[in-house]
Amino acid sequence: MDFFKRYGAIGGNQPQSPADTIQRMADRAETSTLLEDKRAAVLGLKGLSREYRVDVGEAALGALLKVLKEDSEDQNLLKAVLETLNNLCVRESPRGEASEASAVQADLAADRFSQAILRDSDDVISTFLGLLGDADFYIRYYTVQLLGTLHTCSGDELQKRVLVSPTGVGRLVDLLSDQRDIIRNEGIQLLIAMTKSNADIQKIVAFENAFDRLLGIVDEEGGVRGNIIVQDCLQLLHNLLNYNVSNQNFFRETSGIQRLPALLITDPSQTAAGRSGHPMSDADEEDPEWTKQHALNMLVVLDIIRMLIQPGNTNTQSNQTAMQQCGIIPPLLQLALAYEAPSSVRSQALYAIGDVIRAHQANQNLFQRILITAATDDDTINPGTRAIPEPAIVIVIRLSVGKRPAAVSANEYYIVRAAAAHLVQAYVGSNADAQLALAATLTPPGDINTISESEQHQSAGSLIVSVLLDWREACREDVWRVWYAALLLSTILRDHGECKEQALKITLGDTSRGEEPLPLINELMSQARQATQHGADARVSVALLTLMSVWLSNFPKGVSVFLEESANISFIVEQISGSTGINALVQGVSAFLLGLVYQFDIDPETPMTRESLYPILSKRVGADQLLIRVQRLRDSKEFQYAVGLAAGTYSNAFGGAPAEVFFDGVFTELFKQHYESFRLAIRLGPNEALANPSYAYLQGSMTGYASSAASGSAPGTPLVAGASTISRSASPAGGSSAAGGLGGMLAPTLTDRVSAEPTVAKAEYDALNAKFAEQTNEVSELRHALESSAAAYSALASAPQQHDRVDSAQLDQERSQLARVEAERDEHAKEVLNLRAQLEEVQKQLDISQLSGQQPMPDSDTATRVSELEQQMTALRLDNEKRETDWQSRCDELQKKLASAEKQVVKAAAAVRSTNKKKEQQQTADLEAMQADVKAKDELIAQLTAEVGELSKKAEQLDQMDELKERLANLEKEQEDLLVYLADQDQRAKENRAKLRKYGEDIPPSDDEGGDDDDE
Amino acid sequence: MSSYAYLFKYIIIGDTGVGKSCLLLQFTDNRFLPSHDLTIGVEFGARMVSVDNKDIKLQIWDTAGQESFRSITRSYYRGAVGALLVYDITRRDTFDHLATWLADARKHSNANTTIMLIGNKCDLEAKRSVSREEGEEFASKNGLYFIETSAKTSINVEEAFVQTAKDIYEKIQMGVFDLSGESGGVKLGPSQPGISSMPNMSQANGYSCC
Repeated sequence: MDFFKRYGAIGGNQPQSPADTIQRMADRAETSTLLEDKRAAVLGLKGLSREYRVDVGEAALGALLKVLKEDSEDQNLLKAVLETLNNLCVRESPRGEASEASAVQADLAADRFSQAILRDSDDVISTFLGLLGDADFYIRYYTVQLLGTLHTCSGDELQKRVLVSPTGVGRLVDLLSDQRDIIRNEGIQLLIAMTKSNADIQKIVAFENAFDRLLGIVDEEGGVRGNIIVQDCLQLLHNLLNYNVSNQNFFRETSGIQRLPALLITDPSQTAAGRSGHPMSDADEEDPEWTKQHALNMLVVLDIIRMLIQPGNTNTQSNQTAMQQCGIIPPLLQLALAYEAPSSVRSQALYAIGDVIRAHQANQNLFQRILITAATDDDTINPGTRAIPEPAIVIVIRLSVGKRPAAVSANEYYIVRAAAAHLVQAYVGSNADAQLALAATLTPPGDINTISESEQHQSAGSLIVSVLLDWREACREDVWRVWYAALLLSTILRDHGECKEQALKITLGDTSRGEEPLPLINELMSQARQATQHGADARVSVALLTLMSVWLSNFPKGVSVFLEESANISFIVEQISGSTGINALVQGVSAFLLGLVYQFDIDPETPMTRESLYPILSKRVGADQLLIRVQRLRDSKEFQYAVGLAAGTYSNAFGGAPAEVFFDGVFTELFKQHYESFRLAIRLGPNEALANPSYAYLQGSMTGYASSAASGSAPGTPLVAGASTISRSASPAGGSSAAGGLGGMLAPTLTDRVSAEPTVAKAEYDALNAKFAEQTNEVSELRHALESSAAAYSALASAPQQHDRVDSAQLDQERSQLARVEAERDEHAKEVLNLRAQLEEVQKQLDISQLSGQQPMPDSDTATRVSELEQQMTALRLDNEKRETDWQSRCDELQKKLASAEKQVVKAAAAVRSTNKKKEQQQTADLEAMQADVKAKDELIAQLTAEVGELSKKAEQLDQMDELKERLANLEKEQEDLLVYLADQDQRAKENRAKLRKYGEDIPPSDDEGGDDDDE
Repeated sequence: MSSYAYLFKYIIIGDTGVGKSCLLLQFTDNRFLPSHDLTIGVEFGARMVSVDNKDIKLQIWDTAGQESFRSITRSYYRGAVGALLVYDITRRDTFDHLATWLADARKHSNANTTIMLIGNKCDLEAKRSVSREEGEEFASKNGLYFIETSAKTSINVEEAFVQTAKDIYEKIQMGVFDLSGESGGVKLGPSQPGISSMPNMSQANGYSCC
């Protein structure tokens, strides 16, 4: 109370209430002209603001805000004001949690003052945002703190205010670059709060390069092993991307995805080992570093990854590709297999891999090729056996159905099994090849009772089969092993006839010891029977029976094998008709299975025809009874839960094993697809099938399916039409009449072709001629371009004063390019000559065939004309050759002159001017284009040459006179063209000379100048 | 993945319904949607262009034209190096508002920001109510680039974006921008050894692929 006395003394020795004193100080803060008085008053208010929050706030808030706006130069004053405001607005307890009346009062006041500040008519918020740029530590710090306080009170209001300021969000993001950790961390907190749900702020924060800055901080703070700041940064990153497609695009476009794999790598030494191909070879080394913080950080990273590749999003495909390309799978696999890591992390890593490859063929294929040497969760295995690399998919399957680490409970490990199964399904989904590859590994384990031994080196398929067969042993540890084994086998078989067939071939029993081979399908049924009779966990029976349903649907051959074992039918009938002590779910699945068996019992070799099954179905069980059982299954909460799970309604990522899990998505999907036809089918008598059109269709489709499966085609083509196509394509192998028909069909076409041959040759010949003309044209064009470029050069050279300085290096380069172009042109000219020679040859051959033709000799006129033409052509060719060489020498001359001009230019030029450069670039581009042209034409020439060769052969066969005449006419035309071309060339040469003269070069008149007309 | 020499940030501004989002969509996806939803706030798009044989990544923020979003969209001015100011040649009011838009852009953006004035919907010649000359005049009076485009037929869309990039590129060559800053709107690509070197002539290795 000294304080009041002191102020009281100032006021004149009378005792005062705190309220009076506060009022006095508020007045002084507002009206004092002396800065010292003001400062003293504000400091006084600050001192009282905690204890007398309401009084100070009510008396002085306006004054404080005024000081803030008017006296912003005085830093000490500013600090005190900011601190006081923060004291006034900060809440004692989170909203709605205050227990004491005084705390409630205080919080109400805090809210009131916050509102007053936020609604300040002079927009004091923008003043705060400005202060965020202040260099002083405390001013910045108190300002961020105050904004944080205001956000707790009224986030929406503050966000609106910040958005009004065009630089507001930018200033907040700038806090991330503050060198002082305390301010930076406060800034992160504030941004996390502000980006939780405001998409506008999310986008502006991203626009201000927050991705870069945040990932930079994560790196600085030691990556994902770092402290809570790392988690905060990742959380902010998560906020920016969540539900924000625009930011997700931006993240990908700024190579954000490429930076994710580095976040997953937990230990640099592990990555080094990973690169050498033994990522987990040092598995005995316990990782003590999996702290809670580390796990939390990692879970946020994994969450970010999965968020970017949610199934069905427009961006998912490109994000999946980007992720795969930047190598995200190996570190994810390492995490998944790190048995010392928390189950939640392992599970999320597996889900993430699944999401990366799901419905993405390239990624699935790449995943297929991954080999790893991994430790198992079962650390009792002799370390010496670990060295063999295995496909990643086998290891993932082992995670799903294998033993769990001793330290982890079955319930906790469930999430790892579920995630591994999710990954297998993502790998197999819409990937028939992968399905088949896995089915091919379905082999009986060497000894049925050996899963306890080494599950280490079993193939994927045999591992699954052995867990199913030895369910008692597996269940002792964990019923989920059996349940997931059944799910995975369903996944491998579903909708894939060939896979179903493959699995059907598996038999058990040692034939060498005289045992009867028992098909796997019946062995599994026998296990289901035993599990039910011995009162094992109902999940075992349910899992095995749902597996049967998936296997036998659309698979008459399987049904036939199933029916070979009479105990199978009696077992399921028993389950359906029993009334007490039978699990309703087992009952329901049994009913569904019986219906399927009846529906698909159409294999011609079935041991039990539909006729014999029908009485069982209709009399012993009764179709109504059967349907009721199935409906009850459909309506059960367990079934509905599985439907919801498949649709992604619930996430079982963290919760351990839910009690409701009995069914899986593969079965519920089959059930839904099949339910309608199923209801129809079980009402039909054994021979009614064909009477009902929809059923006939169904049967047809089944036959189609069977044959498509038999001929090895992909699944998913079970159509009647498909079946007939296949039978046709298959029949030629058998040498049946269909093949003959095919031959008959081909024969006339061939004959037609042969008879049409001469016409074709003629047409080709014409085309060749046309091409040749075109070629010649192009050559002249090219020449023209060269010319003009040379002219441009000389212009450049002769007018250095106009263009000032020229970059000599560039000139050199261009000159060499010119030389190259010219060389290429020369080559080109040669080939033109070559072509011409070939043309001549063709002509000769034509003459020969003309002579040897059976028709009467052509009239002498034509013959004379031909020889005349030939002579002319030779003359022309020689002339052309001469011109070419002539032109070449002139070109050389020109170049020499150019070189000397260049030298002059270089001497004259001291530096480079940018305007000049543009022109040069243009020329370079032109040169480039010309070069491309030359190359393209080279190819054309090669092609033409080949065609000429072919054509000349054909020409020998031509024997019809009128055709020859036509050819003659063509030749004449061609000749004319050549003449025109030559005239053209001369003209151009003349022009060129003229141009050169214009540039001041002394060129003597050529001897043929003015005498061009004499050429013919 | 995609490396680039420079990264430019653009914004597209202008009245609502002038076709800003359609311009962006045409530029990035070569698509046109006749009935595009109103943009809420700001949307992002990106594409690579080539200027002077250099790959330049354009990050484009397409803003909402409605008045109610104006304060939000202003936050993007400061960080952008190119601004496409769009009006609709069939709606005079959108042309009349250009002065306001321009004042806003000048006030909040970097002084070096290149502004391209775009008269969009030039395929609707019959409905034209702002002549090309008027657009040109406004642009030259205010020192802007000018082009008429059609997001529907894609006429000049490419040119509008590329011409802006060319101008920015030239400004870089002249040393107008500070490339080290965080919020300049121009950034160097990830693996760019030096910037001051000449627009290089070492295209020789480009021949092999033709």
